[in-house]
Amino acid sequence: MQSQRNIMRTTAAAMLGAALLSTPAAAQDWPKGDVEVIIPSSPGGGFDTYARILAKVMGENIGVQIVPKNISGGGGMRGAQAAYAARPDGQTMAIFNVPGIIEPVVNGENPPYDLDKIGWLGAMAFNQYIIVVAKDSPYNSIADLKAAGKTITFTGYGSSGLAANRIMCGEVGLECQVITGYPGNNDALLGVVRGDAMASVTPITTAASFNSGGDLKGILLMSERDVTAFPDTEKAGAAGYPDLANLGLVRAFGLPPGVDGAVSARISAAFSEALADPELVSWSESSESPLDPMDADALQALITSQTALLTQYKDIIGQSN
Amino acid sequence: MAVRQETPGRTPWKRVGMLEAIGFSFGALASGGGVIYLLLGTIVGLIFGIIPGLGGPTALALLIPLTFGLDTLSAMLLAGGIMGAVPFGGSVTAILLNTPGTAPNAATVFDGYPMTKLGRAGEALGAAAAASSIGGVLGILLLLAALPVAREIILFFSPPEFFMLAVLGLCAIAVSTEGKFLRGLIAAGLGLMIAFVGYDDVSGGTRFTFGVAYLWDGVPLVPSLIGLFAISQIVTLYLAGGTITDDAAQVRVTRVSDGVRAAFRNWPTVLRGSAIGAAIGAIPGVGGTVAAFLAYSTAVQISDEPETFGKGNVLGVIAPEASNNAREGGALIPTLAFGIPGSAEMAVFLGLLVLHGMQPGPSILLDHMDVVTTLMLALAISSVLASVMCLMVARQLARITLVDVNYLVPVILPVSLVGAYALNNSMYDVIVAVIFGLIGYLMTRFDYPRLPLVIAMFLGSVMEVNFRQSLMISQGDWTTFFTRGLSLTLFLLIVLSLCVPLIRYLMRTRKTARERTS
Repeated sequence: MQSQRNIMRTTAAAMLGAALLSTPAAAQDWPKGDVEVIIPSSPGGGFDTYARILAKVMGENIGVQIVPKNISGGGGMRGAQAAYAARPDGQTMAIFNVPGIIEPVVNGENPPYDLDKIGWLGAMAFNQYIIVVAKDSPYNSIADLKAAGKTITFTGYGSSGLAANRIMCGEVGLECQVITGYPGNNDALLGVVRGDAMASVTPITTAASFNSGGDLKGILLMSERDVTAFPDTEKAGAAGYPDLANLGLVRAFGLPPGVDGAVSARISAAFSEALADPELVSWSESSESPLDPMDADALQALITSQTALLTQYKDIIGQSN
Repeated sequence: MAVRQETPGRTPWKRVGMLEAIGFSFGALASGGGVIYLLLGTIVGLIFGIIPGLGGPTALALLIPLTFGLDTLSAMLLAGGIMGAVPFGGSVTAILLNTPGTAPNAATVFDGYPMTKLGRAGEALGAAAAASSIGGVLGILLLLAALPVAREIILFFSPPEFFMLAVLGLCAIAVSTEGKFLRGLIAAGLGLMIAFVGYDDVSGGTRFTFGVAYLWDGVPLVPSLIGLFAISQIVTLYLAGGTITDDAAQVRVTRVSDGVRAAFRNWPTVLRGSAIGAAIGAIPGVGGTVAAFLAYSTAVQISDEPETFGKGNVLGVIAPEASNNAREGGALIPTLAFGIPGSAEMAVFLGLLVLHGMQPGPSILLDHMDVVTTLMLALAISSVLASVMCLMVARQLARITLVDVNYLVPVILPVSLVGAYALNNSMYDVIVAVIFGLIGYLMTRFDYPRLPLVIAMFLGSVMEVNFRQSLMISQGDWTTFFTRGLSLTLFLLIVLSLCVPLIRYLMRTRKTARERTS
């Protein structure tokens, strides 16, 4: 009995050894100490929060520290550039702002990266948009806005939000003026509440958390999902604008170009495992920060559809105020 | 942990009233690690405040991962400890070395450093400490009073009012020109030009970036401040040699208590500074730096001896320091009520709240009142604690001004450069600090005041963005600035603040003329 157990142990060890030997040396070594995750924005924002919680959970799972490194500036370009130019040894990963990194490509601005060469791991969340108005606004649906027969004013924040706003106006056929310059999404929503403009196109999660005081009313969910904070709001498909559901902020993760395939597969597996971790899921539920785990293929498809929309409306998006 | 961790003894997720919440806060403070977390936060805050460039946002960002394992109330004690101590820490170097530790301390150098040069460093530190403590506590009391009407206060301010506030802040330039008005205006013009570098949030596109991606976010303020004050000061000190205080015999460090007494004796200045700090701090987008400058310029304009400011008037230290600590209370109002950070520190603090499973916004006041009261308690205690700690070593700190600059320079220079680097881990920030160090030195050398440049750099973009937003909202109708009650009131305040010195001057000359004839 004892010897049989020994034989089994030896066989198991040999099989494990063979399995280890069959993977390339680089993958075996990974992780070689602390891993860095580059965040292309300052501490405190949405991308930073998502990246930090992922870093913690994924780090605990793989048994090393994943150290967040904020490289803000240049509208996220500095961080994206640093991530793209990082050494492809699997010790550096990054969170990317999609569509923030697509826009310079579409606008022909020659950004310091090639979207096709980034080693996509997947995404944590896909934050679609909603159109909201003040709670005492006379408008209750997108049809009402269209029937108003006048220029609709919006408050807007950030280049991605502005692009989504203009694409929406193009798809729906609204005459729009966007009041820009707000320092954040919440500021833009506050602008709607105090009457700076009639409406705002804003990420659903931002509107949901802002609206715990009930200051806002949903007009159109640019999504097909049910949103508890806006249960009666019309959805994009039902309103006849299904393409609007392709717009949104994606919390995407990727590796610099040239990471060894086997290493990249291990990181990818660790990334997927972290996304399913109960700690991350419970954080998501309690903080109302939604998770939409997406693998590399699904992310790639979303990048393609967003690129198509941005290209189609390139001229409208590029308009000056 | 990411999910809000309950403090022992608290019923999970039960909505609690204000008094009950305050009870929980004291409970958290008294429990095991409570005092230690608060003390730790205060010490970290003081150190980060003292070192130019580091400041509250950096301290909080570094602390976020450490709070993962703490229950939420302990995390608030730690964070509140930091935020309450940073403003006073920043005043120490402003007074002793002419180098504001954090941006809002820039107004303290006006009179703090001249006091040091006159050998009154101890008195200045004492006055700053007392004013900071009182301001910190008053700010929290004002916040408590304002919480029920926080929403209404915030909805009162729109872009036209923000524009007027920025212009009111710019009026502080008039009192910061040190008697060199034309040179002050030139410096302010340069500051405005620098303020407009970067991505234009209103119409999109970049301005004056010369194809450099780094400049997209504009010229960063903190590295510029480090350059303008710390590095240029290092060059000046090195070239001058000797010690900061010319006459060692004059450093009467026992006068720390005189400073404390001065703050209590001049309680109207402390009250006014605190009220300005809390009120301006509560307005998102304008921030504490404007509050400090406004508190200072108000003190000058109300004083019977405006000419003594800038030459070591203790009121010039008391007013901005009271305002600096009170603003923390004010800045919490938009942060808690709408999730809109009232300062850079609050922006990082928002991230901390989210990581602990809370969504900033009106619901936080309903669902997590104990978190809010614990933070307020920590802020108030920490601002007093930081001052007391500093007073205990003020004697030794003031002696820095007696150290030969040949020993000081090799210490301050690397600390300043590391401070510039640590902000974003960027060498570009260090380069900006060095360039501004050169600009600052040349300005001192050729007798141009530096503060107008700083004020204009701070307020340029706030003023511009809100001016353009106002006109977009009103469809190009410029009367929007005068048809809104609050905006018009602010405009009249601007006119008044610019006319008061003139009226007083005319009255004084008439009085002297009368006296002469009689």
